[in-house]
Parts: sequence; C-alpha cells; structure tokens
Amino acid sequence: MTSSSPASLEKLVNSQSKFTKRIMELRLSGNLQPGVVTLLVLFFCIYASYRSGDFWSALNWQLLVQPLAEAGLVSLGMMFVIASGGIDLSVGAIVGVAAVTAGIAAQHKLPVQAIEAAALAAGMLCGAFNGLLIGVLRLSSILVTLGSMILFSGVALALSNGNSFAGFPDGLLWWNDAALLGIPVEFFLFLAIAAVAAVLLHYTLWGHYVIAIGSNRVAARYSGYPVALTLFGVYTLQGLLCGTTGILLVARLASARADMGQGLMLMAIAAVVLGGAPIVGGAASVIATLVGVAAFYIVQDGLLLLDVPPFVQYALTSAMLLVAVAAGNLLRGSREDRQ
Amino acid sequence: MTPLRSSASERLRLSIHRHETKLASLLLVLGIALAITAPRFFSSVNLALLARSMGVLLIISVGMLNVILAGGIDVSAGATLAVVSVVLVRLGNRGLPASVVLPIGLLTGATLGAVNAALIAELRIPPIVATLGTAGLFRGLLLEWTQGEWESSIPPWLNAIGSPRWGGLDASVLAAALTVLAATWILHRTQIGRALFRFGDSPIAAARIGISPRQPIYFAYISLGILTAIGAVFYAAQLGAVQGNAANGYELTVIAAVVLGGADILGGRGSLLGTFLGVLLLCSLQQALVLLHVATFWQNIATGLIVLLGVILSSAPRLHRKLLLQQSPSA
Amino acid sequence: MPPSSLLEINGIWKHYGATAALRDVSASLQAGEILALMGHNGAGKSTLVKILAGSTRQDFGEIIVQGKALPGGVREARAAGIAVIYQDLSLFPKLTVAENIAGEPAGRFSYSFRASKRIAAATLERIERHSPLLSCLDRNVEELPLAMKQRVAIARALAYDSRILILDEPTAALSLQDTDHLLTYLRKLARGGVGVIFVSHRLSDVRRISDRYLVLRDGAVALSATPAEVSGNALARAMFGEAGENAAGQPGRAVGVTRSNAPRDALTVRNATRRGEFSNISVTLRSGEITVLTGLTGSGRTEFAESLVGLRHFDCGEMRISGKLLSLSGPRSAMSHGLVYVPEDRLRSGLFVRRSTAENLVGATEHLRARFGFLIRETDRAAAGVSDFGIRCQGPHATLETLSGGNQQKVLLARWHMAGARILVLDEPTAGVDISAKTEIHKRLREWAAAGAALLVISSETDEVLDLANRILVFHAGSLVLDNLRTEMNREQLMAAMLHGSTPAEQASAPARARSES
Repeated sequence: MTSSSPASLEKLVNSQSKFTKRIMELRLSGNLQPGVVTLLVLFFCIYASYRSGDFWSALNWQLLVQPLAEAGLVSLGMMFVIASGGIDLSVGAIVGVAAVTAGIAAQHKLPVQAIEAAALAAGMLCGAFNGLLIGVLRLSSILVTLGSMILFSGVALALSNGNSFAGFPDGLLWWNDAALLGIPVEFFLFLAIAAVAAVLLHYTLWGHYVIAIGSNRVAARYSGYPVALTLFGVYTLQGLLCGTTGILLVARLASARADMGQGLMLMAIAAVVLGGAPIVGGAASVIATLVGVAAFYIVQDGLLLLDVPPFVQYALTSAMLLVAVAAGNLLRGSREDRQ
Repeated sequence: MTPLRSSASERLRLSIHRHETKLASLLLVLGIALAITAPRFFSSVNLALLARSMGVLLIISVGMLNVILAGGIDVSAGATLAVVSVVLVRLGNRGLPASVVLPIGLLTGATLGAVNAALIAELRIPPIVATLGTAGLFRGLLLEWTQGEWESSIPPWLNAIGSPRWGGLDASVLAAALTVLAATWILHRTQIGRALFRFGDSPIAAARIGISPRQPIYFAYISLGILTAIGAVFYAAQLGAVQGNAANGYELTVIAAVVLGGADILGGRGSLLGTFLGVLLLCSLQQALVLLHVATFWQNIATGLIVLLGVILSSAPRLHRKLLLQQSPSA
Repeated sequence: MPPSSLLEINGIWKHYGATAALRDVSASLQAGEILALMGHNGAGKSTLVKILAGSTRQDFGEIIVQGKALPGGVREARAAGIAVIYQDLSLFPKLTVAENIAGEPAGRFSYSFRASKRIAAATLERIERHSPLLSCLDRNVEELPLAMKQRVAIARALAYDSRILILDEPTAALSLQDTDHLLTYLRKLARGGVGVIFVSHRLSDVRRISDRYLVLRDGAVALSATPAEVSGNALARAMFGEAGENAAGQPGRAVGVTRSNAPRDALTVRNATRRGEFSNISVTLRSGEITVLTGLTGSGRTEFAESLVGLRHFDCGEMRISGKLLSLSGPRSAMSHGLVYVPEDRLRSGLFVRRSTAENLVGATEHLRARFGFLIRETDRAAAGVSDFGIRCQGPHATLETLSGGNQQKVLLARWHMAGARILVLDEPTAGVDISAKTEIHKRLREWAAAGAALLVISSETDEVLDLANRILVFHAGSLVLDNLRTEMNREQLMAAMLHGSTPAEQASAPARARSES
C-alpha cells in the first residue's frame, strides 16, 4: 500500500476515466444484478440448446411457463412484502388454504365463479390476518408469518381433514387447458398481473408508500404516510395473489390438497432476491422479479433436459441463488469503497 | 459505598416484566388446565415421554439461540439435521464403529455450519438468503446421495443410544441438560459468549470496540452445526429410520421455540431459560393434544396460535415501556 | 518535538477512491491539553478520528502515542490508551449499564456479571461522587434518557486506563445544563493528565474549553493555533476559505425585519396537558414571527411539539388554527391545515436516505396532487427545490446517502416548506450541521417568517435562541415558565429560566404572558 509516493498515487487515482466512473456508479446503484442474472441465463440457454435439441421446442416452453406463472404470482406478492421491509413465510400455507377452499366449494357443486371467489377470499382473509398483526399491531413480520404459517397449514388440514379433493368443473380446469397462440392462458394472466403490479409499484401513491415504509418506517410515520393501512394492503394483496396461485395449481393438477403450496415460500423469496432486491426492503422492480423467477425455472428446466438428476437440479438452483447474490455483493463493492 | 445490589422491589419490578415470567405463567395456566382435563399428563410415564420429546428440540434450539443472539437466522438447520442423520446411519450400517461415525457426524455438522458462516461473514450474504440457499443445496445433495430411499434400520449402538433407561428417560435428556449447562457457561462467562450479545445488539458498536464480525458469526453457526449434529444422533436413534426428506421444516419449529422463548429476532437479547421454557411449552402442548386424542391439524393450529401469542407477549414490554416511561418516539 | 507529547500525528494521507480525505495532516497533543478539531462536514475530521480509533488505516504517515508508533486495529488503539466517544455513542442498548461500562472481559473465560458490576461501580465512583448511574447498573441502556447514555459512554471510555479521549460532537444533542456539566468534567479530566480531542461544530463550546484549535479544510490542516492567537473571523476563514468569512460572520438581527407585516395569530394552544410530559401550556404562534422554544432535554419540548401535529394527543386542552378549533389525527391532517413538524433526528425519523433527493423533496405532498391514487411525475418541482434551496448534490436522482449532513438537513426543510406550510414546527433544525449550512438555514427561516409563515423553532443552543427568536418560550419540567419578546430578554434571564424554571426572569415575563393570554 505504501509502495508509491503520495503524489503519484493521487495522480493515478485522479486519472480515472469517465468509463470507469460510469461503471462505478452502476456498481454503487446495485442495478447490475438482474443484468448479470439475465446474461448468465442466456449463456446457459445457449449451452442447453447446444446440448439438447428439445430445449427450444414449443412443448418444452409450454410445460415450463405454467409452474413459472404460479411461482411468479407469489413472487410478485413477495416483492411488495420485501420492498415494504418485511417477509412472508406463510405464503405456501395460504396457497394450501385457498386450494382446499376451492376443493370444498367444488364439492358443494358451486358454480365456477363462486369457487374462484371463495379461493380468492380465503387467500385474502389469511393475508389480511397477517396484515392486521404486522401493520396495525406493529409486530415483526418474520415472527408473525412464522406463527401464521403453522396456523394456516393447520387450518388447511382441518378444512380438508387431510384428504385431497377432486372432481372440479371443466370451467375451472379451463385455466389449465386453454391456450392462446399455443401458449397456456395461465401465462397471459401472469403477465397481465405483472403489468398491474408494475403500475401499482411505480405509478401509484400506494407503491410509493410501500417503498418509503421499507426504506424508513419511522420517517414514513413522521411524514404522515398511512403506514398501518399500507402494510395491511401489502399482506392482503399477497394473500390475494396466493389465492390466485391456489386456483391455478388446482386447475393444473385437477386436485386440491392442504400441502399444495409447499416450497413456494422459499422459491418466492429466492426469486425476489435473485432479481437483486435488497432483503431489508426499500427497493423493488417488477422486471427484476420476473428475471429472478424466470431464471430459476429456465435453469431448472434446462438441467432436466441435460439429464442432470432431479435432486442435483434442486441443489444447483439453490447454489445459483448464492452465487448470484455473492456476485452482486462483490460487484457492488464493499461498504468501505462507498465512503 | 453505594449499594451494588438493587432493592428487592426493584428486582421484583424487573422480574415481573421479564418475558420468562410471562411464559412461566402461561405454562402454569396450561398445567392447571391439563390437571383438570387430563390428569394422566402428570403421570411419570408421560412426563418421561415429554422429556424425551424435548431433548432433540432443546439441543438444536440452544444452537439456534446462539445464531439469533448474533442477529442471524438459519433456515438450513432442518437440512443439516437430515444430512447428519443420514451420514450417521449409512456409515453405521456399513459396519463402521461408533467411535468413527460419531466424530464424522459432528465434523459434518460443524462443516455445514462453517459453510453458512463463510457465506454470511466473507461474502456478506444476508443470513436468511444464505441459509435459504444452503438449505436447498444441502437437501438436494442429500437426496441425490440417498436417491430418496429409506434407511429403514439403524446400527445397534445407535439403537442403544435411543432406547429408554433411567426410568423412561434416555441419553438425549442427559445430553440436553449438558448442552444447556455448557451453553450457560459459554454465554455468560466467556469472552466469545458476551461478544455474541454485543455483536447481535449493535454490529457497529461492536466493531468500534474491536469485535470483528467474523468471530461471533463463525462461532454461532458452527455451534449450531455441532449441536444440530448432536441432535441428529438422538433424532436418528429415536426414529429408528431416516431418509433424505427427514426433518423437513424442522428449522421452523426450532425458530418458533426460540422466538417463543423471548429471543429478539434482531439479535442481542434472549436467554437460555426462555428458550427452555419455549421448548417446554411447545412440547407439552403437542404431548397434551396427543394425549387428548386431538387430530393432528388441531396441533398445528394450537402451535401456530401459541407462537403468535408468544410474539405478542414478547413485544408487549416495548409497548408497555412506551406508555409507562413516556419516552418520546424519537428518542 | 518536546518529549512530553502524548500523541503525534505525522504526515497522514488517506484516500477513498478518487478523493483524498486527508492530505499530509500533522498535529500533536500534549498531556492535559484540550484540542478542538474543527472543520465543516467532509473536511476530514471523522476520517482522522477513525484512523486514531484504529478502525481505518492511513495510506501514508504515522501516529505516535507516547513515543511508540500506533499499529492499526481497534484493540491496538485501545491498548495504547486511545478512547473514542462517537456521536451516536455506540453503546449496546439491550445490555445493562454495568456491562456497557465494564466492556469486554480481560480473560477469555473469566466473564462475570458481578465483576463487571464492580468494575462499573468503581469507575463511576472514580469519575464523580454519587453518580446517578450507580442506582441503575442493572437497567438496560435503552431505557435511559440521552444525557445518561452519554455518561455511560464516557464512563466506558474511562473504565480502562485511557490517556487520550476523543469526543465526536459530544454536545450536539445535549441540553445546556448537560453541556455545562460535560465541559467542566472534561476540564477536570485534562487537569488529571488526559489529552482530549474535542470535535465540534458549536463554536461557543469550543471557545469555552479548548487550549488549541486544529482546523481541517478539504483534508488538509488549515489552522493550528491557540485561541489567543486567532479571532473569530480568522477561524471562520480557516474553515471555509475566503468565501466563508461572510457566511460565518455575525448574522444580522431578525427582529424588526418581520415587523412590517402585522402579526396575526396563526396557532393558539390553550391549557394543553399531557400527563407526565407537560401541563397547562398556553401558547400563541403568530404569522411573520419566529418563536423559539427552549428548555433542557426532558422538559417536554419535543413531546409538546409532537402533540401539535397529532403524533401524540393532548389529554386536555384545545388548539386553534386561524381561530378554528381542531383535533388533529396525525401529520397528514396537520398538513391539510398548513401545519408541519420537522423532527430532530433527520436520519431516523426524517429522511429516506436510500431514496433519491427528488423523491424525498416531493414526498410529503404527493397525495395532494395524485389523481385517483396515481402519482404525477414531479421532476420539475424536485429540480426547482434543489436549486431554490442551494442543495449540493449530484443531481436530483442521487440517493440521499451521498449528501453531506447539512445538505440532508436542507432537503428535510425544503420538503416540508414545499408542502406549502404556513405554520412550521422545527425541532433542532441545525443540530449537527456545519456553520455555513447553519447560517444558510437561519437565513431561510427568517425569509419564511418575513413571507408570513409562523415558525416554532425548538433549540437548545442559547446563541441560536437569542439570534433567531422574535419571541422566546422556555419549558421547565413540563411547564411553560417564560414567554417573552426577544427584545425584552437578555442571556442571563434566559439561562436562569432554562436552568431553574422560577427566577426573577419569570416575574419579568409575567406581564408578557398575561398579555398573550388576554
């Protein structure tokens, strides 16, 4: 460190070009991670298509987009939750409650709309319960949703008595069967909801409040923002999206079980983080979340086609999360660099 | 000289607002309710069963308490538990003696803990993200190794460890007691123990008195890894069979127990007594519901409600203090 | 160099990326000396403190403590006898007072709560007789008021054998009385042979206590002299360069400027009481006037101010704005009546530092312009705010983290003023900002008053109170003990009222209060 004289060091430092400064700025703003992930996934796609002819086949992508859409919806909800400075561990359980509710409604031979409405309402109710405890009573989100996760999974089991439901009307299964231009209609629903989420996040007062609360909750209160109401909305929206996911899952699998949402919680958190959103909140981007969730499913699917054993796929996608976040951290530079 | 001891009334005032006191009252209420509805709960056979069911959870919870005290969280504990259990049983079934298998198991646990610590301390990945990733990584590799097959028998020495003696108690109870004793000494008497509290309370202030983040982070996660491995010995021994999907979601029960015990999820606050009471409350509740022949899902509902109640109770002092001491919200 | 030098700083250089934070800084500190380290924000003071504390390593140069070169590292610096008290105190809020003071155990396996209590008690006994902290050794630090926390921090620094005490802005958040106490105390320590480095923006404190000034500007030493050698102007010149002379010169009197507008009653509070915080407060704020509310910390000032905007509620009493009786539910309903509150702790309760300057500027009133919940882009408004208030930033989209403390404070003030406020309640608007920013903020407040706004400024700094106020209110233990025009007051009356509550000054103010209540 002390090898050169002070004067020459200063000269060296000052001679930094505009280009490196620009890169520095990007590094500091932390916007590189979705780009890096996209790039990695593209490389992976090229490799996968080179190794497996099926990778670009229409069938492959049709099979891919349905689970992607389901996890994507929960990830969008999780994006709002994480942006507001919280976390929601109960999403999988809420999906289970919604699915079972749909099952019960179908058993009572209710019309399709009523089945859907019941599932959505069940999801929203669960979300609102979380929102009440977190927003109004100001309890810690991770603790509340840890408790409510156990509670909701119990409720789902109680409602279904541990059984699985079948015999859903064709109108509900339409979500799985219908396709537009060869692409499952589920995927279009997902894109439409993502667009709505983007508008909510970037163009509405509510979206602004969510980000502000995540970035400094106390200051948000002193600024007169409706903190409790906004957070209540965040978790209720998450519940609603979980309900939607529940309906799509029921439609695709033509059955409903209490443990249907298992694994969705980890996937959703991972997707949001993979997209580069800080886990502490205060920032979010719908595009980045889409990149995060798509990266998971594309890589998983590619690994499948490359004949990588299923459990190794699971391990590798998890490793991808670690590598992406670590790389994002290194790119962003250490805290000392910032000062 | 001014008296160093606080007055009796002061101590009483402090102890009433302690989370542990509230938990104990909750346990008392549960106990009275059980004494009326299911007096069988207090039979010596049932109490021994309760103690046995607490052992593994208590051992791992003590490790999780270390992690939470240091301001972290570990959602890969369930995966670690499964990995070590399978390692123990597989190696044991291939005829390796306990004196070789047990150290390998502990080493495995310590290594997995060190991986978590390295991701957090060296690569600065937030704990929840890092352990989320390693949970998938550990579990995936384990499932690949086992190919989803059951190890349906366990070696005789492991069976012996898990079999009840001493009036229905088994070695897990002894191990849990020793763990709590050792942890009491480490947390209260040693430099590293106090560093855990300091670092978890305020990493910046800790750095300013020369506590580097590495030391507490590595200590917390490696100790959790080792304790999880110890727990795995009894877990496998009590179950008598293991598979790759074992202990799925166990980490959430562990976190729930520690949180119920009043540990501050933001770090720096928590106690072994609280953790013990948290584990006791969760396990007694489960045991009681089994005894009352309540369906499994009601157990989930009751556990979820009790965890939420614990969360509300543990944040009560914050609300209480705000009202009583009239602190300004900006102070 | 004389052999008695306690600390020698020789040719320190430090770079952060492309910028040099310190350039060839040299200084020395003798035993028993109090050295004031000054400079505006970003001049390199905190970098120097960090290097002395061992948390950062210099690029070039060396630090010599009592003849021995200081190796890098926090523990090493502490072992060499350097203790730093940071502005944020860096205590452990969830641990007890005793644990905080006693610090880390000496041996690896020898910690004991009883021993740490003994060490803490012994330290407190040594520092002062009958320390109030002795009775709360078992309390958690988070439960203590700020002034007590500061005493814990000082006791911690002195618990081990420290020879060099560095205090970063120790008086910024302290009330007059606590500041007095602290300065006396530092003088006593210095007499005992401790070398003190005192980092501060408050010139009044610096003048009272220092043996020598060390002024940094843009990372280099701009001045090193004894108080006798330099005038106030020379000091300001050293801190801000030639341009700074006007900025930090004697500010003009505000009184009289606003007299052109006939004052109207903007906000009246009658018999406001909140149990345990303040009681029976009657106050009138007039448009075109700056009313300064002062008093010791804990006298109920902040609580009263927060009650005005509905962050807390009066237990009884009434409030009128322009004659209309109101009951406010929170900052937002206050804002709709043109009343805003700018909190003291800008980082904690004021700003969103990870968001952009633009967002922070327009954020307070977006809901008024939003259509059906949709935001209207307000780039122009934000840009205007930046230029109107002279906020120095890399453009309105730079995050607030990149701004200096003074500029952050300007953003906070600008945000609330841009909300169209006619009545502003400002809690310590100049705490922790450098002198040029402070002068600018004062100028701005006077302009707002002249334009017809009613201002209530809360301040602990006597100079600021006397300088800024048209009318002075003093709180003492939750009651209003003085309400008087600035022109009818002098420093002695003010200090007496703040410290004792009931004094001759109180009698002098009685007619004034009678007037305001009639």
